[in-house]
Amino acid sequence: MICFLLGLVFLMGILNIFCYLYFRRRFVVFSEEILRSAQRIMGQEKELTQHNRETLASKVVMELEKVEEIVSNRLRESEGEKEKLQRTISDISHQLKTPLSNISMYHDMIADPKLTSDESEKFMEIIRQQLEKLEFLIDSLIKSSRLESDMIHLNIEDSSIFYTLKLAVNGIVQKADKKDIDISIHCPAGIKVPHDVKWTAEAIENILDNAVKYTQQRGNVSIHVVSGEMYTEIKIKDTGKGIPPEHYNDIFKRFYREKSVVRDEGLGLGLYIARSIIVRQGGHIIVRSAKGKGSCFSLFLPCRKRM
Amino acid sequence: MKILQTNNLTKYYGAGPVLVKALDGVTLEIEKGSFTAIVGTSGSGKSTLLHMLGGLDTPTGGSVVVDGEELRGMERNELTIFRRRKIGFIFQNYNLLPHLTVYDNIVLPMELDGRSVDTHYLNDIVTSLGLDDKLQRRPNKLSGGQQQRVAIARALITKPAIILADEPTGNLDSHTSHEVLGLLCTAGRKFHQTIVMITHNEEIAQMADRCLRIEDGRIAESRW
Repeated sequence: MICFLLGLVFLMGILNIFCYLYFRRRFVVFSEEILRSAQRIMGQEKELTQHNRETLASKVVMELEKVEEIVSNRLRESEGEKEKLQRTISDISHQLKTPLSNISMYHDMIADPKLTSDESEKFMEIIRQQLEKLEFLIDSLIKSSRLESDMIHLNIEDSSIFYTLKLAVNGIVQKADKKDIDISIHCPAGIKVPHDVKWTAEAIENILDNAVKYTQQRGNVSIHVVSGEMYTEIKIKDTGKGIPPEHYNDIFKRFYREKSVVRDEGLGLGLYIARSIIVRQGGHIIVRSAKGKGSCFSLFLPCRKRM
Repeated sequence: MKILQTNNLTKYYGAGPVLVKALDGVTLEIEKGSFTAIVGTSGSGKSTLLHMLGGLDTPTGGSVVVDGEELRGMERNELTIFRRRKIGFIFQNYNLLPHLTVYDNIVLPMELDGRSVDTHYLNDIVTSLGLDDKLQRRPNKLSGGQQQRVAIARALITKPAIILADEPTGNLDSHTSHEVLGLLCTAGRKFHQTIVMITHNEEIAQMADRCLRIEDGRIAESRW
């Protein structure tokens, strides 16, 4: 009896050792497979033999590839950013150059002793105008670069959207009056949306500024607020010259000026800044327009803090 | 980098005098991380194209290459796993399972793949999509916009490289459409996904990086 039991224990011991060796072997094979795949993935190769199988190794490998994908994508993005920055710097220097060379030119002319007082006054006026332009340029550039480099801390709080609209309209009302343009706000009472009051007002003002600039005398600009489940929509509609659909995406690009408006004052930063502000709050802007039929900008602000 | 490529893709139905050319030689390339809109009238072949891209249907001729893999050579089983891990689908009629809760609907693709759910990521998605307080409800108790948001969450949960959406806002009103698409775009950007979306709404197409117009089974126009 005892012999039998001892024999049984011995057999089980042997079996255990075999089991251990077997599973150890499988685990080593599995690890080697993963390691080999990981090395190939690091070399940006696809490990196609491991794809689309119901095995553990296949799952791990496909996840690893996804990780590699995302990381290299981030790398590409940051390289793209660098390029964008370089382009911006050259754009900026180009933009600043015109007023600067104007100023220096008129300054030299004023130095001429044969100048009449009338002329020198005129030149002084031109210099002042150019200085103002320079100031405006630098102001916008600082704003856009601060938005870009995330230096602005958005202070997102539940606040009345009507108040923000009022702030934005106040900034534009003078220009609108000059052109006899009527601005109306339709906003249901008491709508509160989490947003940064100051910067959102800036974004709305930029869009209103555009609307007023490209709307003829005695036109109309109306603002409608529609409250939805996920987003609050601010619709800004004008009766201006409109935007052809093929330029919908361009108008939000930095320094973009439509060919027909190149002579008007502006830098092509207003809408770019507006979009950055809205996107940084988790929202988005879309345009509906047709040439000659006015434009409608819709700003979507999320009703809750997220993303 | 290209993630989707088709080469002279064709799909014919019927034969002889009743031959219908749903797709008639489509060659296209889609960049990784981009958002492409496909527009066209109904019957122009845009849904057929989308189904081919996702391996839901087999072409008569030509090839589809997704992320370096040719779909034609795959077996049924392989194709199923491929779809589950690489592609998220969003349909016009949501295709949610009515007897499962919102939560179970969302995590279904993970469970099918025998993986555990990344709770942190799940929370991120459902709060982003405003579904955090609706997880225990049944889909039919939700509005159309909400159901479509559940479908988006389900498409995102596996972090697929590609999202294919077939008129995702076809049944929604204009405001809700913009809401749903805004969320889809934000999520796509956040998780580096490639989105291909069919729509008949030109206004929606403007949110895309690129717009393809399909007419009579061919690409009629490609706008960036």
